[in-house]
Amino acid sequence: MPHRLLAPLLILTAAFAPAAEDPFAEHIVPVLEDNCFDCHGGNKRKGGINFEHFTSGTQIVGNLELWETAMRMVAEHEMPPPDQAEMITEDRLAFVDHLTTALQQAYEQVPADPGHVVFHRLSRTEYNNTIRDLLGVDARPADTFPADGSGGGGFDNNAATLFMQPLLMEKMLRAADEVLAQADPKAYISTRPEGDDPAAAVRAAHQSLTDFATRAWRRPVDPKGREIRAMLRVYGDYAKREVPYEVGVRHLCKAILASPQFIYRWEPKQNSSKPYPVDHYSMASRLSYMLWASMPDAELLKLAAAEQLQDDAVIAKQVERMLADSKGHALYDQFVPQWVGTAALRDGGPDPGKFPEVESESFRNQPVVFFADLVQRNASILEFISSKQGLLGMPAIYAATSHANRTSPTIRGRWVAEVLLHAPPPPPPPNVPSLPEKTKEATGAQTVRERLVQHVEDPNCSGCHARIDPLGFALENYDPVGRWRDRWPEGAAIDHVVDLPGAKRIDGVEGVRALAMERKDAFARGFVERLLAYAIGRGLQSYDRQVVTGILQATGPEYKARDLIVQVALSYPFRYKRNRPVAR
Amino acid sequence: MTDPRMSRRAVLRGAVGGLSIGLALPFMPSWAARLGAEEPGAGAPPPIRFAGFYQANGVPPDHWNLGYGEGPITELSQNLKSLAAIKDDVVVLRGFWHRETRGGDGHYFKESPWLTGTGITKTTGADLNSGGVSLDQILAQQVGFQTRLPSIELSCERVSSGVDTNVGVTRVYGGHISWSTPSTPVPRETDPYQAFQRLFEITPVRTGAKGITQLDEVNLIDVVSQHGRMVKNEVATDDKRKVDEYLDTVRDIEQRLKGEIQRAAKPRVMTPGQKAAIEQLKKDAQSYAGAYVRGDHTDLVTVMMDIMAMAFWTDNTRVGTLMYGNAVSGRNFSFLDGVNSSHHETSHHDESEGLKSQYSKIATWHADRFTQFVERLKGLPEGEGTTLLDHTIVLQGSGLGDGNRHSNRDLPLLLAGGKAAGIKGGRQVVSKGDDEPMCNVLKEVGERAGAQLKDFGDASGGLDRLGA
Repeated sequence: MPHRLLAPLLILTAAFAPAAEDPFAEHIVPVLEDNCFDCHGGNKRKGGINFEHFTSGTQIVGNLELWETAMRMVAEHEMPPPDQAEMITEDRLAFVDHLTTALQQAYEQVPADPGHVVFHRLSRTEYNNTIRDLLGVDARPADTFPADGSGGGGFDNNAATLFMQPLLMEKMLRAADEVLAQADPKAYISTRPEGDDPAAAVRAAHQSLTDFATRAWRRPVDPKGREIRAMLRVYGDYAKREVPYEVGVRHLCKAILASPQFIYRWEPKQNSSKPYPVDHYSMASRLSYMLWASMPDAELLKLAAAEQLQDDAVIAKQVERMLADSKGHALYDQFVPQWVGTAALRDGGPDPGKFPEVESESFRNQPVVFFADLVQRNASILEFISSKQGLLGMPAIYAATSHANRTSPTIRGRWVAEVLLHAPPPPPPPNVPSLPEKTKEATGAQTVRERLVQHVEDPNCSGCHARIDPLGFALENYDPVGRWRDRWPEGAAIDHVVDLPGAKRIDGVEGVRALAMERKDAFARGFVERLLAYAIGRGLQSYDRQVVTGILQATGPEYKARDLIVQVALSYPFRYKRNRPVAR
Repeated sequence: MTDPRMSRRAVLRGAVGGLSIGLALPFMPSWAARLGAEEPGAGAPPPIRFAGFYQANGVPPDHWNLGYGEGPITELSQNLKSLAAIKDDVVVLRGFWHRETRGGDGHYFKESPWLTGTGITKTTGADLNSGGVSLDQILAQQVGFQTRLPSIELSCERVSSGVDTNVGVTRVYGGHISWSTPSTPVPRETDPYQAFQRLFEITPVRTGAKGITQLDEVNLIDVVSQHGRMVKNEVATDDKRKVDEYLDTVRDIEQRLKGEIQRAAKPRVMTPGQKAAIEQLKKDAQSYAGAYVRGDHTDLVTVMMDIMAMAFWTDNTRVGTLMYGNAVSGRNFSFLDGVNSSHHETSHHDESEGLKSQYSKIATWHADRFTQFVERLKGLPEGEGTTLLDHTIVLQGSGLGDGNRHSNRDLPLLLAGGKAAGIKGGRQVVSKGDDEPMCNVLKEVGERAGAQLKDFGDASGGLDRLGA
């Protein structure tokens, strides 16, 4: 995804350049030929990339990611790499400028598409919270379920990576038994039989099961529908055998909790070849699982019944209400640690034997608490970077970007590039050793910094490491748990003044903070991309870019936290779905 | 590449051909909810089991490898010293590789397909595809119906969350070596007490209350399955695959419930030795209930391995995998003398002595665990003058050779046991040239463990050299 390092320059140059018919063919191709074809033209495919077959701007649409990356790398002096001839400034500016226009045009051609979120199994957290709100039992049974992996936007509520397997189903059956046994029977039995003949019991069971299924499945259930009839057939048998009413109904409630209508977030399809707004009950669940990681409450279901949950004002009001509710903490608890990476402190990061603070919840929760406060005040998310107590002031962040026993300028620098600057470097080549072998002899007593200089000297590594390592070195004054230090453990004084490509000098944490603030729009874009991915439960695609732009524009340059959340809930992919891919 | 959308059931049908599930009799009725009444080993010869132990992040080859000679093991390497205790039972495999795991990235592409030998799809999750069904799951699908659980999957490290944005790949890959279909990773149990209960105590046939019978539980599953079929009619085409995953799972549970009811009718008695061992294991496992070990997990591994040994010994399953850690495991090993760093971190030692010696100690620790398991199996009598080890093929290794270089060549592989399956230990077997696929090893092991395999991954054949 791009950002506008050179934005002021771009505006200047754009003002003087007449719009070309195909700016790509006219301005970009020549720059590619002069600067890139040695490695990415003819039969050369360094990094698997060859530009020679791109001759017209129309070809960008199908390769948006490639060109986004190309633009960013050129803009940031990552390409051409240092061992190649330097691209002259005029070429660099022309390339970035015209590619920006070409990308803009390309994005306008991408048809609006809400995307498709596959049949979405409840994550462990969602299962726990739903049971809590459904039965009033805070037993957290899903803590014993196998851990959910994650994918898409990097969150464990990503629908595509939530699987069903026998081990999980067994545990869900067991959990259903246990939570029903713990719950007050009133939570699942709405009706008692009048009289003691089997027919009265069947009638009462019919009502109880319909009521419980309606709540558990989070949408109306037809009392004459096949789902209920299937359960009533079984109940009829129980009644004949004189199984006590409560025992029989409870057993069928177990079926309700093991059914896909409970375990998954089921959104019935509408027969349409085009995208369509999801039904109001689906909206109720989309809102509640985004903000509460749990089922909708009575008010949401009432609004769904009144068909009001596709109304902008109603959605906005509900988001405000739900965030004010104590259940709203689920959003901060789930989203923030996975976004900034502190979730990894649970199993990895600094050795708790040496740094016991990493085990403390208040240590790990710093980013969560900060975000909760921003939302409550509806303050700008830019405080994450500008405030002294922001991300760069949090020991948890320094811990999450360290090894077991030492800091890692590369990991930390990469974190800055990804989270703060929203400019993640591309992956390293697959079979590259960590550092080139020829340096074997010399490494013994060197400092980390001297060793990492090799990254920058090796042409395979320099493209990215020349940019990410310095960002980490600028923060080396923070030890693996964020305590200030003036010297490395080896004894050498820490030099926190670093140079980024393009002759940009950064001085310590203040320098990184200033750099991030210079590019605050990129930070905001990165934040919104992640929040949207979390909210919709899938990774973002090229068609989501305009959606993110829309959210950013709607909230304006202040990027107030609560406003952003509201805008995400109002966005197209949050409210629409499609059955088939939108035609290109 | 198998169609990732193929359902587990379809894969199973393809794999077993004409075999129908639930008809063949195990060599003895499995010990189920109660302690039954039959001498283990009576009747048919004991079955062959398969255990796969995965170690992440490769090894330091110059400390691990024995040299290139084929034949009897004469001298042990720095990492493999502990093998001295089990030398006659071990085959050290040398020089094999997974061709299809080249490219992609340094870890996930190489580690996740350890038991499939395939190329994985690069994805943050949307089109997860391992490229194949793993050897253990093929065995589970072909021989697993004979036991209480078709297979068990254990791990000492929780699945890491998130997408590894360094390489744009979901960490789901790194947490799984068992794949029941190319698009379905099999979840692993990380809590030993949960694993114990699943094997030895809790059956999915729980009668909730008096008046509810075991058969009612089967009927309940049938209701749930009807609900699933109704949902399937009302979701978009892309979702049907997920509903099928659910329906496959439900069907699996239903089969197991029925098997359980059959077995309960003919319970099996444990020997006093087995009873005592299970009781001890229960205590050991219980001490970990609900806890997650971040530091020294040597004892945890022991308990996990014991769970597998006991599951085999009581014939509750014949197939198991254990992951010591996930791909790119950042597990902190500072509980070992002379180590103060994490596993992945030390693997990229760049020949710096400080880090490399730590990496080497971690490799030794993994080899020691293998030895420990093999010795444990050797101590469990089964059959006429034989032990459980004779009827178990244990394979341990990594999808990375030299971890420092992210190499997928010359993979570290240790094999033990399986005498009853014709495997001859006490030697090193070396690949033919440096191009012989590890899939040859897997195919040979799978067939000796009872699978029928037409082909497997990129296998060019079997490896009959494993035999005498």
